[in-house]
Amino acid sequence: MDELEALTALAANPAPQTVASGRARLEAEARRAAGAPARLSGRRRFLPPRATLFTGFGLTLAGAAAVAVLTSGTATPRAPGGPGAPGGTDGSFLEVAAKADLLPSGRYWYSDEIQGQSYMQRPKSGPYAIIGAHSETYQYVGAQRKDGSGFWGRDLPSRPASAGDAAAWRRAGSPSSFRVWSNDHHWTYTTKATAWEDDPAGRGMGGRFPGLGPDRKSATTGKKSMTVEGFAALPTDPAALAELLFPKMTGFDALDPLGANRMPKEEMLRLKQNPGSIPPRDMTPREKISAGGTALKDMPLPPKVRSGLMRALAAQPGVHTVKNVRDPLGREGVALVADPVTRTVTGEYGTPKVEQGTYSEQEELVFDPKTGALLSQQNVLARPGGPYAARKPGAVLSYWIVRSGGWTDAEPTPPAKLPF
Amino acid sequence: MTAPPLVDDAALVAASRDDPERFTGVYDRHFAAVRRYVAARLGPEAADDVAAETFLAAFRRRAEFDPGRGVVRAWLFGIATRLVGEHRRVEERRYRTLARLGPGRPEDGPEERVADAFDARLAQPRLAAALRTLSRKERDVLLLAAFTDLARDDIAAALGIPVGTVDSRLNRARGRLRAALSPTKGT
Repeated sequence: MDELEALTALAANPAPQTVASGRARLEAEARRAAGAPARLSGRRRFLPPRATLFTGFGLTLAGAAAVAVLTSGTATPRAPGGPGAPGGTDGSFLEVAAKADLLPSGRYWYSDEIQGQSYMQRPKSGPYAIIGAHSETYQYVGAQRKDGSGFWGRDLPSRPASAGDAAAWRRAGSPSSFRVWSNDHHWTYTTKATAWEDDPAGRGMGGRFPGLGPDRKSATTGKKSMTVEGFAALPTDPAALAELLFPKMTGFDALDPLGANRMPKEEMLRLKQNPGSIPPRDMTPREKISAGGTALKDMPLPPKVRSGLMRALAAQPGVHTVKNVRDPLGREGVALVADPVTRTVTGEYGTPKVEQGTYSEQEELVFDPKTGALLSQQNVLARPGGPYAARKPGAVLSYWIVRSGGWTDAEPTPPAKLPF
Repeated sequence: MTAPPLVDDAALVAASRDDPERFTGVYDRHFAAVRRYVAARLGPEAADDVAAETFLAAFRRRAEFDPGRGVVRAWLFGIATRLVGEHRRVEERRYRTLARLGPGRPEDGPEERVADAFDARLAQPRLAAALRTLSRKERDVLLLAAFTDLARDDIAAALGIPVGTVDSRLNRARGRLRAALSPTKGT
């Protein structure tokens, strides 16, 4: 296939509602202008990025004010090395108490996050997993517009995924570069870190944060962002928050995420032209965990909203609690875990035989039991198989760690020290 | 019913100076193409906004449109490209996500979206991986060439660069992509 043709698969025609909403915006503008003559210099209207635009870099919420207190109940302790047995969803996970005196305050809200993905190495000396695609991002947003915002990123060294993997890595001669299979191509990761890079695209005004609620998905009705005051006006009741956070999935989002992987391409192209034909559905437990993680990481939620949201998550069917877990930085935590999903990797994209097969994984949010802060969102192996046949249940397949974050009065600067 | 009068794009823009609502005609003709181009670079969600913003920006600057410097379509895609440039992080993120997303793999954490997984599967993750290795200027030329019917000199006009530069950037970008898509070579 011609390379330009191949690119056209990246996007399809817009849905009729997209066309209509963009036209409505233009019409409104044209009506406003109808009295006034066209001016020579156009007014430049700065629109802050919509909420979802932030998610790649994720503003963090940590330094959390909500205090999570563990209770007994049906929370399941994680067996050593295991992903934890499915437990109850009777709300016994957390008794979250908001402490008004811990209300976050400060001039800047910052977040320091680490992202990584595990890949298999299979030398003759024995298989092991490494964490590659390893990066750290540091971002702040001022509470006031004048305090601005900033963004930095750096690559982190690839590293063995666990102590056991480190032993196998040493047996393989402690290599410093790793050729991995990534979806449909080979890629090489190394043990080198890069320096922090100041991204000028991250500099802008302060005072605006990604917003919570279904509106943030809408191009026209949108609260595209929220102010600190906007967050303060959010409901604190778990049921009300669940309604905001777990809307019905419509359009493409209503497709079964796993089914989409098996759908013939002709069918996919057809649906791309007419996403309105896909019946709406409820979010899966996994999607709810992801949505909750995004909100908890990306938004400076007031303590009572935050604790309400945590209660809402814990109350969802298909979400259960696992005690005595550790996040990838080794911090102790309590996890909210979505029911596992089973995945099958085929040879469709030229995937080598050893990377094919079936396994189950689960999405987790790990919280600090003492402060209620979100420590990590991670994807964990539930049932080994296929590419991960050599790994144990509980092995982390990918992670998004909140290294630190919260409100501060000091101008935020990224830390020199590497996290690992 | 009589056929609507044949009015070319430039005349429509000129008419909209005095009659602002005429500009919706420009929108009706070109929105789908602009939105498709922006969606390829920023993903469907951001594209809804940025494509709509493109027409608002063009509308506000309609008095500045100069037919001597190129066709309306080139002007619109030039504006869209500048707006895309303001979302560089989103674009990087999109290619990174598409490059990592794949059939049966754990998605790239919290921002996973079915729409992206869909795009990744249709477009092949290695294509997105190759796009990441291009400079933004190369991507501007490449994606305009892939998503519009603009001729080389229209692309040059849209980006405000010489035609020769369009050619050299396009050649280099296409070469990179071809290499990435070749079944014998990994990236």
